[in-house]
Parts: sequence; C-alpha cells; structure tokens
Amino acid sequence: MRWIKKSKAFKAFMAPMSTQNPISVLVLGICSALAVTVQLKPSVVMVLAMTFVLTMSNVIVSILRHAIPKNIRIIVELTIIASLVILADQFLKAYMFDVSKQLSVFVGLIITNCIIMGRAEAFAMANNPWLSFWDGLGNGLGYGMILVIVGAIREFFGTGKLWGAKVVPDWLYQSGYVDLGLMVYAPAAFIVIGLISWLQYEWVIKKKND
Amino acid sequence: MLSKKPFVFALGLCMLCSFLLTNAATMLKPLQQKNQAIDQQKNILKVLGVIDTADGVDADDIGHLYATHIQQKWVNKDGDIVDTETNHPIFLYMKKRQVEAFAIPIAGYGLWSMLYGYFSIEGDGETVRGITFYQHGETPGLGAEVEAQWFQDNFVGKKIATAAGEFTSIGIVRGKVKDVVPAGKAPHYVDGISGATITSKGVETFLKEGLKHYEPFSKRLRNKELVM
Repeated sequence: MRWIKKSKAFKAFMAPMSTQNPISVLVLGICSALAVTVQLKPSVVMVLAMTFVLTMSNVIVSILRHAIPKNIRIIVELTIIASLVILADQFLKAYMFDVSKQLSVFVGLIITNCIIMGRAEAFAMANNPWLSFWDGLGNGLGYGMILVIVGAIREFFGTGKLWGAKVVPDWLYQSGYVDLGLMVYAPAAFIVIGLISWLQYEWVIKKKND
Repeated sequence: MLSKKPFVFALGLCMLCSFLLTNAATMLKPLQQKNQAIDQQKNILKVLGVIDTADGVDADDIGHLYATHIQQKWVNKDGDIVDTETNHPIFLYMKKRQVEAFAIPIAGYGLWSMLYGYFSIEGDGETVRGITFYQHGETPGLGAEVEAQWFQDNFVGKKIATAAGEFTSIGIVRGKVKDVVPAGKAPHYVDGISGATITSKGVETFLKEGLKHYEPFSKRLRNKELVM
C-alpha cells in the first residue's frame, strides 16, 4: 500500500480531491457548477460526461505533447476537447435521452469549462499519459464531489426531494415547513460553494500549513 | 521563414476529428431519431390519458399503444379532418369509430424560453382532458412547475367553452381560482403558479392562440356534427 501512496500517479489523483480541488480551492469551472446543480441527477450525469472528457483530453494531449506545435497548442487542445464533448453529447442523446434533455445546452458547454483547458495546458502538456490520466480522473471526480454535494443540498432544501423522490415527509409540510425557494436559483449555488470552500480551508488547508 | 509544421498538424487533426465525429453522428442518428419519436408518442399518449405515467412503460409498448389508438391527421381552416399536411396537426384517440379525445401541439414563450407541449380535449369538444410539457427552460421550482402534477391536474375537467358554446379558452389566475373567480366562471380558469406570473401568462396566451386554430373542429364536436 505504501508504494501506491508515494507514487506520483496517486498524488496526481488525490491532490484535486482535497488541497487542489478545482472548484472549492482553485475556483475553476464554476459556471456549470451553478447551472446544473439544481437537482442531484443532472449533477451526476454532468460529472460523468465531464470526467470522461477531462480524462480523455488529458491523455490525448499528453500523448501528442511533443508533436503539437507550440504556437497553435491552445487551439489544438480546444479542437480535441470539442470533439470529445460532441461525442459525449451524441452518446447521451442516443442512450440516455431523458437526461440529455434535462442537461440540454450544458453538455455542449463542457467545451468552455476552464478546468479542462486548464489541466490540458498546465498538466498534460508537461507530463506523461499515465500521470495525465490520473490527473484528469482526479480533477473530474474532485469537481464531481463538489457538484454532487451542492446538487444534493440544493435539491433537498429547495424542493424537499433527492434524486427526484420526495424525502421531506408530508406531515412536516402540514406542520408549517416550507421549501427554501432561494435554493433553486443560481445564487444559492454561490452560497453553498462558498461555504464548502470556507470549511475546506478551515479544516484541510489550514491544518496542512500549520 | 514560416514553418509548415503547424499547418500540416492542424489540417491532419481537423480531418481526423471530423472523420470521427461524422461517423459517430451518422451511426447514432437512427437511435436518436427513434428516441425522439418515442418521446413524442409517449407525450401524446400521456396527454390523452392512454398511459397513466410515462415511467415504467417500455419503448415497444409505447410504439404499439400509439399505433393501435392514435391517428395523426391535420385540421384545415373549416375544421375538416384531412390527410394532407396543414400547419395544424391533430392526434385523434378513436374508440368504436368515435372521437374519444384529441390532442394538439401547443408552443409559445414563457419567461426565459419556448415551451412545447400537448393539450387534449374530450370528444365533447369542450372538456379538457390533459396538458403536458416536454421541453422548456423555465426556472426550476417556479416556472418549471408547469411540469408539476398539481398544475397539470388543475386543467382536467375544465371547459374551453361556455354552456352556450362560446369559446373562452382556459385562463390562468394569480393565486387560487376559488378565491378570485366568481363561481359561475370557475370552469374556465385554473390556479396559477405563485412566483411565475410571466410563465403563467405566457401559457395562457399561447394556449388560447393554439386552441383558436382548432376551434372550428371543436365546435363541430360540441354541435355533435359528423366529423369523420
């Protein structure tokens, strides 16, 4: 076990889960985190699509890193990312039609997600495919972790449901409980992400620095 | 001296990517179109009350139910049912050669987006059988409540015309019908969505617009004239 923990791949995978989390620490990819986290289910599908694109783009960019001409590298990275996103979108439309309807434009907008460009440019261009694979997976899941938490909080407090099923019992509503309308708006995601970011700073990052 | 390498690389990459995407899109297209067709049929069956809820009915059943119960025709200006395509499709639910109910597509602006759905009326030409929306981009929890069961059930049993046969459409009020509408007019109004006045107004407006085009046909049903 110890050699796994010491390996570079493990570090590349774990860092984005905690101290280098793309959303709560680096504050990247916020746009989609605000938009799709009204409910849990679209959040999870978004995470899967995003993780697929991020991992694949990292690996492909890393394989090509010596061949890509430096002066057009950004547009090359973008072409690869865009192709993968369209691929993911087409598959969703063919095999998960209902969910793809729910996510609508946001799958397409993965192209502009800063995390993917950021990782391709900062990590995959400088590291081998093996490390890039773990970095992509880690960043995808680190992003996903926050999305799932935010999605669950917003769906629960905003509509009294989780994964579309009622969890707040009727007797609670009858005795005066009201859903928090703010939670279904984008500002609620800002507030929740802000709180997560602060908690993470207090509990994880401060301790590490001490 | 300008290097050739970036151009060659860019060209190669673009060719490869477009080749892959074209292939994927072409191969997946039949599946996607099937999904869309099933989704449309599912919504029509739902609004006509042939299936109770869309969940738990598999694709083959939907295709079968649709084929046995629903006839797609068109309505012309005079309210005749025709086989040639006009701008106003109609989905007839036939039982014993009688029109049990019919569904029409409805579409229009809410607050942020176009809403698309179906609206269905009983064979008497005046009683609402159901309403459903299959695509919209309204605010979840507010405008998106048009998808909610309570809002859609709200319409069932309401009348689009007065007892005298005059077209009224269905109004959406602010608040509850029983608080704001006199009892005599209550059959032509439904409860609105609190916090989504503009979406409600939008639905009210395009519903009326849509129904107007089918009014000559509905009138015939109300007058018990032969329609088929």
